[in-house]
Amino acid sequence: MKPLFSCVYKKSFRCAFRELEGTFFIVPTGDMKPGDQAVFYTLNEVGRDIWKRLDGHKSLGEIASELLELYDVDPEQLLMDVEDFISDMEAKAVVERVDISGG
Amino acid sequence: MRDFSAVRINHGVFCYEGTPPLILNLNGKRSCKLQLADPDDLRLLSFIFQKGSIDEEGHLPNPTDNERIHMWADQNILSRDGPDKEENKGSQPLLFPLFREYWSSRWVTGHEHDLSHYHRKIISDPKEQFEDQEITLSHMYRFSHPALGDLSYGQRFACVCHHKGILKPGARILEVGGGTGCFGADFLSYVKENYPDIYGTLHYTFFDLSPVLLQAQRERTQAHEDVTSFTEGDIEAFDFDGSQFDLVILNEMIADLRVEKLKKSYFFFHERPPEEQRGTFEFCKACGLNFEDAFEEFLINIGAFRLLYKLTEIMASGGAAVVVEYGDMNIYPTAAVLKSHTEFSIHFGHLKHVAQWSGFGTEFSDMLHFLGFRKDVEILDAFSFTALREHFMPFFGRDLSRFAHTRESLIQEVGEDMLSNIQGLRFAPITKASPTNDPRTYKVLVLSKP
Repeated sequence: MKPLFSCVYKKSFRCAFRELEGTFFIVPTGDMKPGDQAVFYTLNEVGRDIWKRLDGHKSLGEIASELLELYDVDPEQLLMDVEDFISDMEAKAVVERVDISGG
Repeated sequence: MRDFSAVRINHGVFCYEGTPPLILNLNGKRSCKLQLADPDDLRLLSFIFQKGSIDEEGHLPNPTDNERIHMWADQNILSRDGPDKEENKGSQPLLFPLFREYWSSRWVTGHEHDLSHYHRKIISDPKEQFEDQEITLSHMYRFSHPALGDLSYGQRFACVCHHKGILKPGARILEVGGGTGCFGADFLSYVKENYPDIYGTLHYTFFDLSPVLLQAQRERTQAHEDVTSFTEGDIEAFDFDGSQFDLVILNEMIADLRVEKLKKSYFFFHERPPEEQRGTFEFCKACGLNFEDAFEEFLINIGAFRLLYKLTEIMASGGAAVVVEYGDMNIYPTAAVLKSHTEFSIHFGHLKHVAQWSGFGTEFSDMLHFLGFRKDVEILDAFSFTALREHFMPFFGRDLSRFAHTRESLIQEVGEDMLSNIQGLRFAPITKASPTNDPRTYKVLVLSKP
């Protein structure tokens, strides 16, 4: 199985996201019917920095490397955090893994 | 280097309806803690309870009600559902612009909303238009005002344009959608008095889709007939036959231009847009506008985009344009449902992008900073204004003009005797008295053509 850090992700098109007065919101919009209750998420600064880099081209490892330039943090801890974040976001269906196998 | 903290994701819950969810919560809890002291609160609540919700099409009774509901939410008057109530405290008011955005895209039932017919045929009374139908910042500050250094909006605008170096001798000025003509008249009078060398060489063209408003502009500026001309038409389609302008003023008019509803799937899932939207789709693609942060259906200010693009033809090299309207940098167009028509706020992030793509230099700010409003000046707050205008004055068979009233201007209009009998009128700084009078609500994009 491919290690997570080499995987590439993109934001799901089934969500809206926006920064409002310094708070970063993600609102999933897939398969909702009027009257349904939906969840929204707010991210802290690190989460937002990861989110912004999910462009469908960069691997999680590359994203972690970029964040190392920004944050005073142990590289292993950062990568673990990025991977946890992505797993959580994937479970919430707001990010999607991109197949870059070329096949 | 920034301090690192573990990634944190907070959760909130909202009801996914095409209407602001706070109202739905309110419906479920009639015993809310709201103190029904304000006549407008009573009116809005009775409206909501009678209808069971906002009306079927999602309309609020009037645009200021959005702000009122927002305020209730801020004060925690409305309950919040969800698993983490404490954690989400404050999130829903912040999210309110997103709800309005979502609701607005559903408000537009077809693929576009176009006010051309309204402007051409329906507007019949210029004064009533800006006193009763719609609220503009320039109308609220149309007389000399201490917040503007005892100048009117139009006078101050001229002063700022001169200081910025965009009002020069020989200027060919085009104002599109000049309303009652107050703005243009004050602009010209100020230039005549303070910069006579410029006034002697300028020409000011009023351009409007509404024949009624254009006539009002003509009448209002009679004193300047030697330097003015008037053209009726649709700015998007009009052929200026090579004429160019050094200064273009789009003051509070682009919210009246066409919006179109698009789908994210046109851009991200290769769904083919309908034929009538192909032009808009191609335009957005060509501009490189990015809609990844949008809801699945969203509105764009296509009329405003096309107008900016048109400016590339009609602005002279070295010329400038000043674009003023309400909106935000990252909020898609939201509906302002007025008595007689509906306008849409401007996504200034998109507008700026289109302007830069069209080759303009851009400078973005808000009207507080652009006109240099004094923040400490106090004006009548929204509740007091409504109570006076809608209830008190009509009781005595009198009107109250729509204006950012200071205590002094109110005394002048109402009379000291009558005012001394009214208890509890509240005055607040211009940025706190009312969202519609708050110059920060209105944004400015200054374009410069190389």
